[in-house]
Amino acid sequence: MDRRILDLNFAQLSKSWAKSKFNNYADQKKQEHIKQLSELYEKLKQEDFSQLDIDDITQRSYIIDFFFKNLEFLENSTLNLIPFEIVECLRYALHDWLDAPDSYIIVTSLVNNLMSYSFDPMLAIDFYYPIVKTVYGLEFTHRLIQINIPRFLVRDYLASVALYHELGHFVDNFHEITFRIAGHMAAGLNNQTVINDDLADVLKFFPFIQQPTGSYEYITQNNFARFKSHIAEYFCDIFASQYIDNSLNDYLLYITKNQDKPGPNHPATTHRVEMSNSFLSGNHDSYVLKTIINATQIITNRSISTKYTKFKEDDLINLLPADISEPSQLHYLFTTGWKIWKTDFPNISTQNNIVTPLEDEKVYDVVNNLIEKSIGNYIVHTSWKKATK
Amino acid sequence: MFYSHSVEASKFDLFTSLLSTLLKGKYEYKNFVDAIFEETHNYANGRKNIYNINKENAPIVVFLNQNDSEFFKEIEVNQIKHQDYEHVYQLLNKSISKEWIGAF
Repeated sequence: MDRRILDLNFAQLSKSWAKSKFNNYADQKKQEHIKQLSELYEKLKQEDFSQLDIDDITQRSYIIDFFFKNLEFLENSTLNLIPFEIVECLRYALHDWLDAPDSYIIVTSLVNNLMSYSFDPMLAIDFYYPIVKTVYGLEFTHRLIQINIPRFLVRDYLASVALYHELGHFVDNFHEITFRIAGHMAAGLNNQTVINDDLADVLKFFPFIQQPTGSYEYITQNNFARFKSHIAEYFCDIFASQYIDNSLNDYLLYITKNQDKPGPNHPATTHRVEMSNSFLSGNHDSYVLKTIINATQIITNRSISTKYTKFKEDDLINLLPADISEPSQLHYLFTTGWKIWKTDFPNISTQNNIVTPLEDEKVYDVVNNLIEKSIGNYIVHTSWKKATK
Repeated sequence: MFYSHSVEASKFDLFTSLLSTLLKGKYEYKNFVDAIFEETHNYANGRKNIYNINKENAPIVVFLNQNDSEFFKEIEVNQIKHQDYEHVYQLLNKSISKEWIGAF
């Protein structure tokens, strides 16, 4: 590695930091994180890079990557930009899966691609943090859960159901669920303890796996990464279904154009939908589904199960924000939103004496506003209760 | 895409770099590296399994065990020697896929 490129990389960082360091955040945890980044910046600035050897340069380059990664997400998580209401719902879901959820901050990055909901694991896992601690003696109090959201859909509470799937990727990375399931299943396939119906189930949900011939095995160096990646997608779909029921399925089928062939990183959408529908229906005969559910229980000591609760929809039908009394009801808002959008709005119009049918664009605004206000009211009530205790 | 690297691949790259630093006689990452050696030792001897090894370094632990289980079974984790680090460094630099961790 060339030391002058490290100098360049640090100059790039300095330029970006000069602007980002003045950002304001609503919550204390982000302010604290920025303060710690500021200390890290000073350490980098004070160091004489010309004295570093090749491995030192590599490690400093990782630290600068870490810094940029932070800026990328913190820049889009300021008071005005962060989709606060949906992030709050995800934060509640996070509490179901971590012993210390308050050590994590959910941050968002807005991206231009309309399909680009995704999770970036690098600031959530203990990858960069030990190097920063070893090199500069700095410890960061919080880890960041970074979720990419399409810029145009940042206040779209229908498409936002995809974020529960993305949170699933964080939970998967945190507990290393997929990695272990893939290894366990690969061993079972290769030593031929997965047979008959179970084997048929695997070959159905992972159709790229070939029947081995001669000394070949089912899972090999060539298909393991794909196998693992497809398990991760199934896991995240099931994870999301716990909170938002089947709301994701229709949207997923639409945006993937009913994809019925597996891709390099994702299974066929038709298989994904079938898997999450089987989970929701309570039909857990599938070997793959059973393995995901059982392994998750063993690894996390938490069960995969329905985690939303229904609420009376009367208020929404009267075009008023829903009266939410507990976090598990927040998740059900998204399912209700989809139901209103897909089928219920004509009845709601009639009930509210809306004589002229509203254009879809208006209905879209109404549905999104109702969900946003319902979440917002719950947050205000909860904060008020805490403050007056 | 200009450049793409998986989390697992990054973990291996970083671990290799830390090991290289250690081989030069700089010991600031010794605890970090030794903890992975110890975890692999416990995994190789069956004292830990895939479900309870340290999750952050699980891919490295499984990879190391898969590539030289006998070495990790025998290693003295309280007295790791320079040649042990050297041996593992060589393992990591073999041109084999580090994402291949199928046979746990």
